[in-house]
Amino acid sequence: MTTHTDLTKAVDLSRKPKPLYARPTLLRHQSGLMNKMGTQPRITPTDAIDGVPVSELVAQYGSPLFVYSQRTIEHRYRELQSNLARRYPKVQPAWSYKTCYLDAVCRTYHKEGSWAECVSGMEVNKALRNGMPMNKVVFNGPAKDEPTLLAALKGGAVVNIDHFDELAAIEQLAKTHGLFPKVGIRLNMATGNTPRWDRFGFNLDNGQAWDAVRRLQAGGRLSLNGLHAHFGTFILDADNYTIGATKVTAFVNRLKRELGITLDYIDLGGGFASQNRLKTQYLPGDQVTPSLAQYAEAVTRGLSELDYAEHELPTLITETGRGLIDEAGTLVTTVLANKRLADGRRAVVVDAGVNLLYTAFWYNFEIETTAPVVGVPEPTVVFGPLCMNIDVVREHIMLPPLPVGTRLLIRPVGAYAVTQSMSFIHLQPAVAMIGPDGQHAEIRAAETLDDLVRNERVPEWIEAGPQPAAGRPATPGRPGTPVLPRLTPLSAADRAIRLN
Amino acid sequence: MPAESLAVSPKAGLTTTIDGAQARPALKLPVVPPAVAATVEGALNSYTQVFFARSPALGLALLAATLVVPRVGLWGLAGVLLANAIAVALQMDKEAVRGGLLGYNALLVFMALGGAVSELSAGALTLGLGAAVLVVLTHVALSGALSYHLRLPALSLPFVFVAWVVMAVAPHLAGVLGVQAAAPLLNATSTGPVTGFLSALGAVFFTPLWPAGLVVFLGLVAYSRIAAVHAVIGYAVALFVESVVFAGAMPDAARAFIGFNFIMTAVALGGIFYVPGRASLVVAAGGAFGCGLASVALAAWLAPLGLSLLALPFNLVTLLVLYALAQRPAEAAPRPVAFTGVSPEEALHYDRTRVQRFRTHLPVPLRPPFRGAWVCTQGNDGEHTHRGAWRHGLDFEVQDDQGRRHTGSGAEVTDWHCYRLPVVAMAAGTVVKVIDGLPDNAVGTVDTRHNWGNLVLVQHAPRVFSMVAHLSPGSIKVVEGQPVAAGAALGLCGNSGRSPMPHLHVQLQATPVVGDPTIPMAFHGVQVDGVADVPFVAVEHLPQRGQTLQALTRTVPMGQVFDWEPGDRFELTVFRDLEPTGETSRTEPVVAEVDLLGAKSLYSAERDARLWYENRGDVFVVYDYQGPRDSGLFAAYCALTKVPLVEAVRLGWTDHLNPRRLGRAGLAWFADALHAFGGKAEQAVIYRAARSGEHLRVHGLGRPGRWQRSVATEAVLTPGVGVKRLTAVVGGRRLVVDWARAAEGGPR
Repeated sequence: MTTHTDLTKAVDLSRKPKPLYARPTLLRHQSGLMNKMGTQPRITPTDAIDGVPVSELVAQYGSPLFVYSQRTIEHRYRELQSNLARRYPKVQPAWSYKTCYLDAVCRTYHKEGSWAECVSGMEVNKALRNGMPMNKVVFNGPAKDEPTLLAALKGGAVVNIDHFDELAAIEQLAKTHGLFPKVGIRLNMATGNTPRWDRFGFNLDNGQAWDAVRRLQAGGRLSLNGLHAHFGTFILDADNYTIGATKVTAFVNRLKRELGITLDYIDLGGGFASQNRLKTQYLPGDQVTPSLAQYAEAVTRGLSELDYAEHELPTLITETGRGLIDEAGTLVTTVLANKRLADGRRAVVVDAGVNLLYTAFWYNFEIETTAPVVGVPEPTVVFGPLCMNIDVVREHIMLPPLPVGTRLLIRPVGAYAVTQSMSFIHLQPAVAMIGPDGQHAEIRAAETLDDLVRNERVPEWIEAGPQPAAGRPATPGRPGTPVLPRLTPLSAADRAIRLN
Repeated sequence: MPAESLAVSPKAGLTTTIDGAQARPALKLPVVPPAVAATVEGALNSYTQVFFARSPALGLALLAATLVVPRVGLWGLAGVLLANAIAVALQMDKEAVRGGLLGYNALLVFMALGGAVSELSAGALTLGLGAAVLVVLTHVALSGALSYHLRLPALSLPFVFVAWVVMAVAPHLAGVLGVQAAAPLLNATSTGPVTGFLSALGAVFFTPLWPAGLVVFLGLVAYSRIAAVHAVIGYAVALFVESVVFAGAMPDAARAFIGFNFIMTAVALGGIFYVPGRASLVVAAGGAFGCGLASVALAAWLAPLGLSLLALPFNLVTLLVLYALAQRPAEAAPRPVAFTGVSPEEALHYDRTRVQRFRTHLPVPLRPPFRGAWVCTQGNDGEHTHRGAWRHGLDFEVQDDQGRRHTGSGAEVTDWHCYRLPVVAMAAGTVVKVIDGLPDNAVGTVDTRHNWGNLVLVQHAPRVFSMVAHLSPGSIKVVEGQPVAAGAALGLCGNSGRSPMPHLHVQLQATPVVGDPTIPMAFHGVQVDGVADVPFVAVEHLPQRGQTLQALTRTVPMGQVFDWEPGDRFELTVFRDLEPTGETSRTEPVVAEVDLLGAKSLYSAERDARLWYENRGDVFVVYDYQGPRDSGLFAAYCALTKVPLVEAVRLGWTDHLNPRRLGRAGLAWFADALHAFGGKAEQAVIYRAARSGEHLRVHGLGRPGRWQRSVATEAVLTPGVGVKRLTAVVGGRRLVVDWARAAEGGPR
C-alpha cells in the first residue's frame, strides 16, 4: 500500500469544493413522451453490495476496488450444475481459470465441486496450488509447454489436443517416457454463429477431425477418450449449442460405430453469455441473454441421441467462465473530474480505465451511483485515468452531473477484468470478496511499486556509469570478462513456449 | 447332511487368482504334509457334516462320542477313511472330500455295519469294501441328480439306500449278524426326558447311550446354540407325538427310530436350510411333527419289504418342505440361507446384516424418475390428490437454491423450473402403456377428464408397474412394448391432465390399467436432503413433502478410488496398539482376486483374510470379511463398508456390520439363539463423509450396545488416486492401515 497512489487522495474530499460554474445544457424536447421527463433513464443508486456498504469497502480497501460476491458465485454455479444435472446424468463443470484465477475465487468453485480448466502451465500450476489433483485438471489451449504437458499426461489430466503438431509432440513425449496416455481432441465446426470459430482444434465439417482420430490411432501410443468443442464466446443464441452438440453427438456415434471408440467425456467448452452488453448489442443483457437453464437445455438436447447405455454415457464437462462469474464482480470507482468536450458532450474522468477494464473495448458496462445524484442526465463520456487517448470506459451514457468524489459501480466485471488488467500507468488495485454472511476480506492486496519492479534488473554497465570500471576491458565478450547483463533466466515453461 | 449344490459356502468357495493359484487351505497345519492334512480334515468334517457343519473341532468331539462303543466308532472311522480314499481314487471333487461331503454317508453306513459285524471275517470285510464303494457312488449319483434337477441336497438318502442293501446281504455272510441287529443302535434306550434326549442324540451316531449323547450335545452347543436348541425342540415334539398324539401306542417299527429323525428334521429346517427365526421355528416344529406321522406310515409300508425306517422320515420330510417352499413366487419367511455349510449363527447374522444393509420391500430397486435434484411437493396421503386408492402417489417439482419453483410470476408453464425436464425410467422394464397428445394446461387450470394426462406405464416385475404422469405432449420417446433400461429417458415433465402447474406425478401399481389403485413405493440408494443435518444416502426411502431427492451419480475420480481389478496388488502397512510382539507396524501384501462365480475379493495370504467387495457403479460396497481382526483388511471391512462414489461437500449414511465379524461382546455368544427370535445384534454405524482438500474423509461411529461393540472408523480417500489411510477402533482396539498400491512387477 505504501507506494500505491490512491487518486482520490489527490483530491481532498474533506473540503467541500466550491461549486463551479457549469454551462447549462439544452435538451431537445421530444414529442410523444408522457411528460417532460419522458423516458430519461432514472439512476437508482446502489449503496451496498451483498449488504455491505460500498463506503465501508472503499474505506478499508481503497478505490478503485474490485469486489466479488461469493454468494453470487455459489448461486450461479449451483444453478448451472443443477440445471445440467437435471437434464444429463453425468455432469462435471470445470472452472475456466483464465476468466478469473484469483485463488479465493478458484477455491470457491473447487469447494462447490468444480474442476479446473487451464490453458497454460501457469494456470495448471495455479490449479495444483489450489488443491486440485492433476486428474481434475482439464488442460486445453494451443500452447501447452512440455513440462506441464508431461506432468498432465502422467497425472491423468484431461488433455485436449489442439493441432497435429501437438499430437506429434505428445506422441514423442509419451514414447520418451514410456506412457500410453488417454487424450481428447478438440473439434471446431460451424454452428450458425459468426465469426466462425475454426482457429482451435480440428475441423469437424471438412473431415479433419476424423483424420486426426485416425492419425492418433495409427500412432499406437495415444488412445482417444474424449472430445472437446468450444463453439464460440458470448453466444447469445442458445440454439448454437444444440447444433454443435448434435454434430458432436453424430461424430461420437460414428467413432463408436466405425472405430469402436467409446469416450469417457465430452467437453463442450464454455461461451455462455453473461448479462453484460456487447457494444454491438441493441437490447440489454437481461432481455436477450439466455438463462443458464436455457443453455443447459440447448446443450443437453444436442446430446440426447448419443448411442450409449445410460450408465456408460460420457461425462459432460463444461468450461463456463463468463456466464458464471461476470455478475459476481463489481468495480468500485471514483469520479476524479468533470469536463465539457469540444462537441458539447459532458465527460467525466474516473479512477478506473482500460488498464482495469480491457473488456471495455467490447462491452457497454452498466454504471451506477452509490448515492442519489441530482441533475438532469445527459450524454456523457466516461474516461479512465490513463494519459492515453484510448482510455474510454463508456463512449456514451446518460448520466447526471457527478460531483468529484462520487462513487460509481461498474458492473458486471467479474469475468476477465481482473486477469486482463495491467499495471499500466497506475498500479493495480485491491480485490475484495464478500462472504455469504456479509463478512469481507481482501483477496488480493493492491499492487505496490516494489511488486512492480521486483523482477526488473538494471545491467551493471548502466549502474556503473559511462566509464568502464578499472581493470575491465571496454569490449564485452572477451574471455575472463564477466560483463554480460544479469537478465532474468527463462523459466523452463517460457523456454518451451519460445521453442515452439 | 449337506446341501453342497444349493450354494457355495464363502468358506468352501473355490477361489482362484487369475494366474491360477489355488485358494488357501481351510485348515492350517504347517508341519503336516498337505495330503495328510487333507485326509484328517476330510475325515473330521465327515463327522460334522452329519450336522451340516464343517468344523474339524466339532468333528473331534463327535469322533470321541462314537468311540463310546469302540466297535461302532472304529468301523465308522475306517469307513470314512475308506470312502474318502475311494472318492479320491475315483477323481471326485477333492474339495468336496475335504469338506466331508463324500464321507458322512459312509460314516453312517459303517457305524451301522459296526453294530452288526461280530468278527472280521472275509465276508464282513468284503461287505465293508462293497458298501464303501456303493455309498460313494450312490451319494455322487444321487446328489448330482437331485441338485441338478430339483436343486435339492441328497441328505442321508444314500445312507438309507446303502444300509438297506447291506442289511439284506448281511444275513447271508459269515460273521455278520442279522438284519435287525444294527437297528436297535438307532433306538434310544433311555426313557427319561433328559437321558432320553441324550441317548436319541447319541443314536444319531449309532451310540444310543446318554454319555455319548452328552458329548455330542456339548459339541453341538459349542458349534451352534441355535442347532442345540432345535435339537431339544425336535425331541420335545417327538415326546409329544409319542405320548399325546399316539398316546403311547405308536407302532414299534416307527418308535424305534423316533428320536433322531425328529431331532435331525428340526435342526435342518430350523437353522441349516432356513435363516433361524420365528418362521423357521414353526417350520422346524411342524416338520418334526410331520416326521411322527411319516414314521408310522412309512413303517407300515416298509414292513412287508423287510426294510427298516432308518433316517427315511427325516429325509423325506425335509426334502418335501425344502422343495415345496422353494416354489413360492416371492421371497417370504422362512427365508432360505444364502450359504449352506455354515453354522445357523453365521447364517442368521449374515442374513440379518444383509437385510439391514440392502433390504428392499420391492422385487426391484427403484431410482428416482428424474435426473438431478427434485423436491417432493406432495407425499403419500397428500393434502391434494393422494387419497383413497391413490394414496401411494408422489409429486415432484424442481426448486432452485433460493427455494423458488418458478421464475417470474409462474403464470406461464414455461416459468416453472421442472417444465420439460427429462423424466426417466425408475428401473429396467417394458413399456406397457403410453398416452400422449393431451395438451399442457394453462397454469391454474386442470383437465379432470384425463386425470393423469400424458403418461408412461412401465412394467418392472410381475405385479410391479410404475407410472409417470402429466408429461408434456409430444415429448414421449418410448412406445408400448419397448424395453427400457433404468434411467432411460421416457419423456418430459409437463402440465397435462389434472395438473394445475407443471409437476411430475409418480406411482406404483400392481396392474397395467390406468387409474387402478396404487401400491406402496420407495426409492433405493438415493441421496435425500432436508431430513438430517447433512444430505444422506438412504437404502430405502419414501420421500415426504419438502424433501429433496436425487440419484447418486458417480464422479469419475471417486470411481477410480476403488478401481481394483483382479491381480492388482496392494501393500498395507498395519499399525496396531497392543502388539504382543512389540512390533509397531508390519507390511501386509494383499491381492485382488475374482472367483468362478464372479465374486471379487481382496486376499491377504499373510493373515489368511478375505474381504469381499463390489464397485457397483454409484456405490462401493464391502459384502463380507473373513479373517482375524488384526489384518489390515479388517479395518477396510469396518471403514469402507459402503462408500457412495460421489464427492459431495458433506454426506451421511448408515450401514450395519455383522456382529460376528467384530468379535463378541460378553454374553453375545449365548444370546445368538435368542437373537434368532428377537433382539438386534447388528452394529449400526453412522458414516459421514466430508471433503477436506484433495481428500475425502469418511468417519464412522457405532455406539456400544448390549450386544454390540463400539466401532469408530476413519477412511481417508484420495479421489482419482485411491485409498490412503484407514483407521478402525473396534471394542477399544485400534488398527491403522496405510494403503498403497504395490510397485509394478507383480503378475497382472
